[in-house]
Amino acid sequence: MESAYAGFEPALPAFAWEGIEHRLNGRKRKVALLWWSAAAIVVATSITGIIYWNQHTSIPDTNSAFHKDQSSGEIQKQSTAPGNQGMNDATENTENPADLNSENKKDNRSQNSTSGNASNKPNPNTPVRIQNEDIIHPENLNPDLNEADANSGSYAATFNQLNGFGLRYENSEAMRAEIQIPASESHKLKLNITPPDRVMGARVMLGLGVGQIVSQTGFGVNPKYKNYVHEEFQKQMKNGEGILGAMSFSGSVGYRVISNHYLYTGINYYQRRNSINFDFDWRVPVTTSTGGEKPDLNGNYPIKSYFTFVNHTKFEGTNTYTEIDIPLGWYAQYKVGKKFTFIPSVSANIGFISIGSNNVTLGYKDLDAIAQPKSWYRSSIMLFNGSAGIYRDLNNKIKWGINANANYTATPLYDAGQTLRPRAFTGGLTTQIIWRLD
Amino acid sequence: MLEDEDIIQGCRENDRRAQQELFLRYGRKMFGYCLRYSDNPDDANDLLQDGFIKVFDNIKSYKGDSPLQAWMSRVFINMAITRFRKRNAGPRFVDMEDAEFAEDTEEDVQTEARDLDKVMQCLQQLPEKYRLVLNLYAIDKLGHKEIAEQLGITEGTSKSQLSRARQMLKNLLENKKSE
Repeated sequence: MESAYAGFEPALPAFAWEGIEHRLNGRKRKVALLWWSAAAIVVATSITGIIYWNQHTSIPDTNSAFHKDQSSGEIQKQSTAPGNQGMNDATENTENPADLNSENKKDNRSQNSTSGNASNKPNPNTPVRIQNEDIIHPENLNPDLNEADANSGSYAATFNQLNGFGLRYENSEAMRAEIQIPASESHKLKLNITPPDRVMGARVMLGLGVGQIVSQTGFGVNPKYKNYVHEEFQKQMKNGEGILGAMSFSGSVGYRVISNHYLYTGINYYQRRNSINFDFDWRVPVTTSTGGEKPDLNGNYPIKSYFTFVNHTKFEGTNTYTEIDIPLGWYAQYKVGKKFTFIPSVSANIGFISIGSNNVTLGYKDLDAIAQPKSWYRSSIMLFNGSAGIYRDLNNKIKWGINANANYTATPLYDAGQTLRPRAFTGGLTTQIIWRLD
Repeated sequence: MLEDEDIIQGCRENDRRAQQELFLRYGRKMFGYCLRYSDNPDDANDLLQDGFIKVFDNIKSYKGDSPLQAWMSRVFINMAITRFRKRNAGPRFVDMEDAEFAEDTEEDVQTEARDLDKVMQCLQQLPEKYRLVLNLYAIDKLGHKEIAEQLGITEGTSKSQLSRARQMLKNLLENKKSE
């Protein structure tokens, strides 16, 4: 054969040199698009972060006092220094709670003068509901507090005393403090505080989680190339790949958009592991380059028939894949009893996969062991995630719970146009801690 | 007409005309290698372009201690091997065929020049690993030890694959003759 090929000089393909020249020229014009894109993302994220952290809720003047308008019976806010003695006769309109909600403030709300009759006493039966415009930070709330000494007939003093206990909460329709003024000569206030779910009402939540997951890969075939795949490939892959557990880690930030609903993003890191154990005979395929068939992306032609020769494949091991994905999703918090919360969530994630350097798999034409081709894999994929968890309040700020998670790879793991279209399904259990940040 | 030394020097300086001259002078020969190591003309074209890019990248390391054509053919063969390893190489814990075909039958495929096209067609129908071993041993005269090192297989596997390749090629040629 050597001598026969000694003078073998077939005609060059058309435009071969042009192809080479194009590649030589193109190398100089390499645009670092990926780096520019990465830089743009970093800048955009930084700007967004700066804008977000610069947004804060201003704490209104906590020295505002309240007094009751004699004519309307409304409890009105009055800007005044602490210890203001301005009081009104609170004998009228004791039936309805005076609602200081800003939405209910009418035009008759007004700022009274600081002068007042020191002997006026608050109506002991008038419950006062304070909400929205008052600032209360419940972490300072003393749950044992149910009385407060009031200066004689002075709401202002009372409110200042409440402030002295740090009774301030942010505007939130989920948070209320109801102050009832019992009949009492000393005008002691009985505070019936309905502690809001401090953690649920938080505007920003931070989550950290760790857990165990398992995964399985289904090897679909691109219909265009179904004749390019050995007849036994899918069956042998299904028989030969097994499920193994792996660790997962996650971090998330949630922002409450309305009521108990949050949008969140974060980052998830996990490994997928499969055991591989192949031991079978297979017929060697015959492929052809005649008849006008086109090769697939890997240069393989359709399988025309099979030789009578039989090969044997036997190998075993473990394949690992590292995945990092960034979710954008929704979750909601639903109270279950006093201490527990049910949290369902869904998200769409963009994922980035890294193949283990020692991974081995089956070739899809010849069913031999091959190093898993990294070039076949997409650089990024889309996944959908769903989870449901039950959490327990540890204190005002922290919940801890367990989640059941499931991930489905929406886009095939391999590049578009590849002969195979594997998709991964991942599920598992994670434990997570959630903090409120505000 | 430019001498090889002038062309080589021009290529080292990335002179496009020198590079083109090198391509025109040795392209057909190298394309012959590419066709033998590929299973279709498109693949061979890709290998041809990849090979010449590699030649231009590495021309500075050519010391002149072997003929330029021999050096270039080595570049192309190494590229074919690298491509094969990327696609197909992997650990094989047990290779059952080693036990069956441990002996090299030394059976040669008689090839005449006029049948080269047919041989080429049949060669391209072989599984890639068999075609590679057959090319390296029977045409490019590498030993089984060197083939084994290049492909990451054992010498026994190289011999058995060569034996299989010859047998398959023979069967395919016989089928072709009878068509």
